[in-house]
Amino acid sequence: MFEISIASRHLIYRKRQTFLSIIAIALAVGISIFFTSLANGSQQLLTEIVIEKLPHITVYPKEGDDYIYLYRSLIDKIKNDIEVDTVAYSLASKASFSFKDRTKNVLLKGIVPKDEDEIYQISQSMILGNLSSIMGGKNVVLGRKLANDLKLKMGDNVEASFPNANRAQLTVVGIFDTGTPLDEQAAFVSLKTSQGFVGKGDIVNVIEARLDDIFQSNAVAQKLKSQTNYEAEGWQETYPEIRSSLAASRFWTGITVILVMIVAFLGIANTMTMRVMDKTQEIGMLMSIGARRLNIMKIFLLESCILGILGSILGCVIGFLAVIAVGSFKFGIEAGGEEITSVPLVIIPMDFLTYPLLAIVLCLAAGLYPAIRASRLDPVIAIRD
Amino acid sequence: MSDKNIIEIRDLTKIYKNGVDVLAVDGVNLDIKEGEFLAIVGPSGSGKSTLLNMIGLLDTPTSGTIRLKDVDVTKATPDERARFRNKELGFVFQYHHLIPEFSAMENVMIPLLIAGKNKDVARARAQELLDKVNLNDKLNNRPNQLSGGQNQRVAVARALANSPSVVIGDELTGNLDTKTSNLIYELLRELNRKLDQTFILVTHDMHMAEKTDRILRLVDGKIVCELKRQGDGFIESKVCDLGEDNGKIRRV
Repeated sequence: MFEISIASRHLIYRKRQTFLSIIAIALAVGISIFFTSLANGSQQLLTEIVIEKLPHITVYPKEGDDYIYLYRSLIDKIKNDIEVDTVAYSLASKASFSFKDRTKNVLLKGIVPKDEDEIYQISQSMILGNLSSIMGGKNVVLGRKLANDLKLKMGDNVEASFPNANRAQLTVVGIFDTGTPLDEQAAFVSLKTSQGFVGKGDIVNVIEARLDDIFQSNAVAQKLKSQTNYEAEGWQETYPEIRSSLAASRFWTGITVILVMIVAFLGIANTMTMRVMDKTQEIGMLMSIGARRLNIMKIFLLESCILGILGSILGCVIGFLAVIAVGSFKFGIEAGGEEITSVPLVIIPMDFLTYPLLAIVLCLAAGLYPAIRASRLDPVIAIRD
Repeated sequence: MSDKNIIEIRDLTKIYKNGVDVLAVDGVNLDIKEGEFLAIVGPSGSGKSTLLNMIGLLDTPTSGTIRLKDVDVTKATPDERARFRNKELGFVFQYHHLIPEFSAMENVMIPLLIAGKNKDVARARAQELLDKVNLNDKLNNRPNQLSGGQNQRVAVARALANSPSVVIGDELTGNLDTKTSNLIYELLRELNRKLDQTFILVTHDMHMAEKTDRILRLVDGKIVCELKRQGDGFIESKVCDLGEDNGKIRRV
């Protein structure tokens, strides 16, 4: 195939132009791989937080009801009918906490510490006291930010007031720091204490469960809803900010990939257009000695294809090295109640196939118009040019 | 030279339509014999190159026919014309138009590779041709490492690669000094004699034209004079309007 020897010779003899084109493609592929790894990493991190520290399904009272009355039989049904790991039940209500001259709105949750812990792992996040202390009377455990805002210390008595109940004094017996929004909104008391405030007997208003596969949560919630008539939702609905954060990270990665690929595309299109202009006489000569239009097109498409392949290979190396280099950079920040010591990066081997293929296809597309133009040249005019 | 016509041109006309119609070639009739060494002369804009481009299947006539080896090539599809150019025609231009990134050998190999010959066959043939044009010691030199005359000899070798029926040269010494031009013409003459190779050459230069067997003078797209070699001189085969070239030609 003489086209490939002409194409490769063109590339070899235009070293600087060729080198710059390869670098443009390599950067596009490398940046795409790096940012995708970053998005994959943050998705994994968020997923881990969801898996470990949040309920995957939340069940609320039936429509029109304020409470779940026969919650024990509902829990049995959930445990028997649907494959769930862990179930916790609680009675949550809005309250207002006042201490000295400060007041904050709080989500006050009456819980069974052992069960709640299986879902939220509060015990692991306790910085003062322990969660099970709430069982010994009118005690409360609250988030670090909430405690700070109210200037509460261990042993302080905070006044809780409710929309439909009497005020009560609660003693601070523990402070937790989960790194989640719970830290500035949530306070835990025992289920009994909470039921006492509400005064409607043995009731709850939230049942939370964990699943083996978090991405089944919406389906399971739907199933639960249709079988029991109770309101149920998956974590994506309960925590829309996590879903939108995942979506945003995917969106920005997508934008980055599109932008760098467009830049590479324009670079190649420009290079190939200049090549065709430079080689007009040569194209005329090749036509005069019998090259067909298809042969001419092939020469220039092969050139852009070779640029795409070489750029992609280099881009994979750059992307991989960037991931390794940034991934090995150590630091310590707190996020989601966990210490993160390095940038979360996850390499998916498929990316090393997808992005190079995308780059090669783009190079071919960028070379297509100049190649077609080259093949349509009038040999008589081309030779004279 | 045989008596067989390799090219038969009938009523060949080319009109360029760029706003106004320009009659570049006006009803030309011409037979060219196998092994003939022919020059086409004439002032600038007389239609020499247009005629040559049509014979070389680079351009299409507005009307009339060209038969190459008894095939009406005016009706050929673009791909068929490309195949004819590759197999039956050889081109040498004013500038050598060699691929600068390729060696002499590789440049000569290209028409053979386009024809689908394998590399070894193409290399052997290229070597043989470069030997014929006395460049066997420059096989691996690139155009920038060769002189103008040497490059033009590589271009001649390239034109001969697929043993074409006709080699076409458009002002092929227009860019060379007289001494080198003479050497190129002597080379072509030698190839014409040895290989019975048909050459059609367009030139401004009457000295070069005189080295051929027949000279056609084209003015305003018409053949106005035909001179045929007889011994060392030329005889007019029909009434001639030789214009400014009159008197420059050695008559018998």
